[in-house]
Amino acid sequence: MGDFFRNLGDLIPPFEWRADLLAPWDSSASAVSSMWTVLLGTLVATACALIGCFLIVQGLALLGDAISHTVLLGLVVAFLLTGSVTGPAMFVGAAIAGVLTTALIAALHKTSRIKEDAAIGVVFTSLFAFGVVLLTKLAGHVHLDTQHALMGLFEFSLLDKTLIAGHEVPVVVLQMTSVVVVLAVAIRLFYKELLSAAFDPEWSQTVGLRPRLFHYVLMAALSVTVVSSFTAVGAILVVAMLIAPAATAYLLSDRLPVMLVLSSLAGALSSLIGFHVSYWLDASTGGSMVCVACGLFGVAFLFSPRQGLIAVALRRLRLRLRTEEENLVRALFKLAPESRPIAARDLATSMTLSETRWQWLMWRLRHAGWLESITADGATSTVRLTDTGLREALRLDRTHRLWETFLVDRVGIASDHVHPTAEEIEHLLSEQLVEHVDDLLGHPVVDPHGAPIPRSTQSDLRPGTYALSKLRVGDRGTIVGLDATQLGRHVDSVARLELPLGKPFRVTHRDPVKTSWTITVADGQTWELSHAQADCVLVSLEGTGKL
Amino acid sequence: MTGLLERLAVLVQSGDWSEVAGQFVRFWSLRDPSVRTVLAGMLLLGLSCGTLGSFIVLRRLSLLGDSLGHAVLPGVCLGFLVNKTKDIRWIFIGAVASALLGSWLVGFIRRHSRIKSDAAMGIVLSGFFGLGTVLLTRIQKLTAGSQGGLNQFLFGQASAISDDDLKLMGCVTVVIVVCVLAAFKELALTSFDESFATAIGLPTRGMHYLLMTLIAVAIVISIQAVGIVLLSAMLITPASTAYLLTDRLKVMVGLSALFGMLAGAGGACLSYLGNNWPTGPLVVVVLAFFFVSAYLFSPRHGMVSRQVRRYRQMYRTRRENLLKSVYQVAMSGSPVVSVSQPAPVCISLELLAKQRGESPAMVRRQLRPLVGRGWAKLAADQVTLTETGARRAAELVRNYRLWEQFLTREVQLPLDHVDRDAENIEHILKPELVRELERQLETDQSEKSPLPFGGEG
Repeated sequence: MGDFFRNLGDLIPPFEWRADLLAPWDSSASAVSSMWTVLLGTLVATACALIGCFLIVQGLALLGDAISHTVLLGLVVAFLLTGSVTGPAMFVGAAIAGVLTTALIAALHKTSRIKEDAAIGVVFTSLFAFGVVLLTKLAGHVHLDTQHALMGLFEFSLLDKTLIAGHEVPVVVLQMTSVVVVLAVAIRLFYKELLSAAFDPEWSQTVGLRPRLFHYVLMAALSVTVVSSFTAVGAILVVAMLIAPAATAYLLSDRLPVMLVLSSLAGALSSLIGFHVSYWLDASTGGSMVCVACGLFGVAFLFSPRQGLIAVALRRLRLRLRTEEENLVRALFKLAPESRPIAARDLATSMTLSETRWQWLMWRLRHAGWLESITADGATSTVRLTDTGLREALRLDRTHRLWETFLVDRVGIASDHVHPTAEEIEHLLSEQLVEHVDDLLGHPVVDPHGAPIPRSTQSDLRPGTYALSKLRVGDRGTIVGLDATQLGRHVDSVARLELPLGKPFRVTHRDPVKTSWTITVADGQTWELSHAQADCVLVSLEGTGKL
Repeated sequence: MTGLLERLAVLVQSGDWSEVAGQFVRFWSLRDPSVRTVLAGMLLLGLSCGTLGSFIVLRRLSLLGDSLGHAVLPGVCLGFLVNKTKDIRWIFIGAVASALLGSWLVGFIRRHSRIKSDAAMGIVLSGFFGLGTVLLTRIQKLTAGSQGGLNQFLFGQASAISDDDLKLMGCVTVVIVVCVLAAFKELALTSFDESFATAIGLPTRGMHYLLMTLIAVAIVISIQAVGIVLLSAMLITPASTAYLLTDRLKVMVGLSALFGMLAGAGGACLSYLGNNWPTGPLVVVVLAFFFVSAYLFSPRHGMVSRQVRRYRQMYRTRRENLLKSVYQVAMSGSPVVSVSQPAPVCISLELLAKQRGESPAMVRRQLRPLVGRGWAKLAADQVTLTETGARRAAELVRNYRLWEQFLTREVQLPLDHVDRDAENIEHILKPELVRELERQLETDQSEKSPLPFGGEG
């Protein structure tokens, strides 16, 4: 085993930033060759990333894998027919091979009981094997070999140069540049078609955007991209460049245009970093680029702000901490509803928490401003809820009991089964949602167990303007107007009531069955309002009765 | 044009045919000990891959095999690093570990992000392969010479199987076959209905990991002979071929193992004939040949047999329609159809032709198959139905009526819509179904009971 680690250590040379980062760029000759390498890598990565985004969102990643193998057969057949493996013959051969692969897979999948995944597997391995056999037979006659086609030989592919405006430019760079330009222009022109074909082919078919045609066009474009990248990075590494940058972008954004940009950036970055890694390790350039691309995916997988493993874990942790805090606040509230001071020791024992956890929890609550210490001398320390803490406790209590009411009244669950669910959901429901539930249930006053439901925290603690439906028996107020947003079709029925605008009134009765409110003014006249009517009437709350 | 011919000539020229034939005989005479090793090795891995392949295909994990095949490469390189030799044991351990890590990573990525499993497989496949490539090039630079064999891992070289390898393959195959036999019921159940298996308390996840481990092991022993790139074919293609041929899992596993072994032997033989060509692609070509044959000629699911069935049905329909129209033209005055005592039926060809809107010569030609079946006799200008012919015709008319009744009464289709549906089904109604229809329509006096003609001409 020791040998293993020594051998592994031998594999990784020491990293010297001057030698590994700057040396490729310091003399003009090496800088030019480095530039071509990085440029070629970037072009390959960009082309692959652009196509890759469409593959990823449609779940076609493995079709990309399949096609990047079968283009080999297209190349061999193109060679047989025309005698060359470069230029137009190569592109046409590859495009035909790609479309043929897709069509064969679809045909096999549709006309037999073979499932799609097996169809992909059978078709691409067979075609690829056939290509390899032909290639072996042609060995020595064709400038292409199987290992080359699989692993790619970056440096050799750059040797073939041509003169443009007095500069020597590698042919493969020119080729790749045109592929990228054509791809980018095509995506720009047919963005609408590609987008709708990718996300909603049925709709696309209905409105006449021809999703099937564009599917096959995409496959042809994929094959052309693959075959032109082939010589540089090899078939299998093309798969990585197709999938990894696009998947990275998929983790970072929900929008296709952003994804296209991000994936191209990720591809370009992998090319640059990959080049340096290969220079440092003296290893295959294509392989290093792929490792970096997958590494970038790993980084996005961990650190993506919304999707990332860490972000998700943090969200969960935060929720757990909050649940803990809220549970304690509610426990305190139950022990001392009027926010009386209570001995911290009692609470700690009743909650069966360890000393350190308890201390930490107390610190967090004090930090949140929910708790204050009255006396802090060790054993006899007492604490009590602040106003904010009390409000928080009431809100939780309200959520809990309203949810229990909802489950019993509307879902029909037995009242002795609802507590655990409510215990969990009270930490999750937002205040607006709770008010909706309250409204849905007709603003109930007690929960199924007979316990009072606290008022909405706002109306409980501050006077102000509220809908009449929020009021309870004993509340005093004055009608100040009508809520235009609620009126709608109730405008007539409210007008017919002839409410005592501006006169002080008391809520004297609430009918829980009819869900109606009865108000009485000073001279004894009464009005009965239905739920919808009470929602429309705005009152200025002047005083609350008992709970 | 000449260029094309030259290039094609390169493909077909294969030197001396008698020499090839000699090689062929030499291979199958098994005189060569190395040939025996190679053949045994290929049979073993065909057996293990074929056996496992069925479960992979059923679970729709086909492409996981491909990912695992590629994920093996870094493990192979690391295994090589242990003492810088092609020590099969270390390479085996490294490769299995790396494949298992790959399969776990695919699941992990899928569970913990919105990346779908296909993309997860793609990333694992290419990422591991990229890492493997870096390691491979690095090792090649460090230890020029002694790593020569590592390249063979790409496409496989059956002739490179050594006796040690063979022993390992044998052990692994035994383990795989024993495991599959011992856990056959569990594997089958979890493959077909995972939730049911979980519900009755089978260790579904355990079965999944068992299968993954077996696959990883099978892949690793196949690398040397078939190569990384085409490994997945060794798993998927035999099983898919078997899947086209049978509906029973046991038969499928057996057939799949058989195809795997045949292709393994065939590939090894071809590789031997072609002066040690890479074995992997040749095995896959043989497998593809099996698959295409099954796809075309499978008795039940094959393309050709389905076409044949369709044509046969078409001709039958045509024939029976003609029979029926002869019968109906002849019986147009008679109120009832009786299956048991068909009246002798004899009409002139001219009348029949007029009824069908065709020329008498054409009708005569069309009537020939009926004569061949002994349903009708042709005279100079008239056709007579034999007793069997008349009975069959009466049956057809009766089936037609029954179905028509069923559609109007039970399905409640309007009368003007039932004609075409009834027209097609009368040819395929089986006697049991006819009886069932009679029972349903409460006309169960007896099979022989007459049924009134409907309002159809």
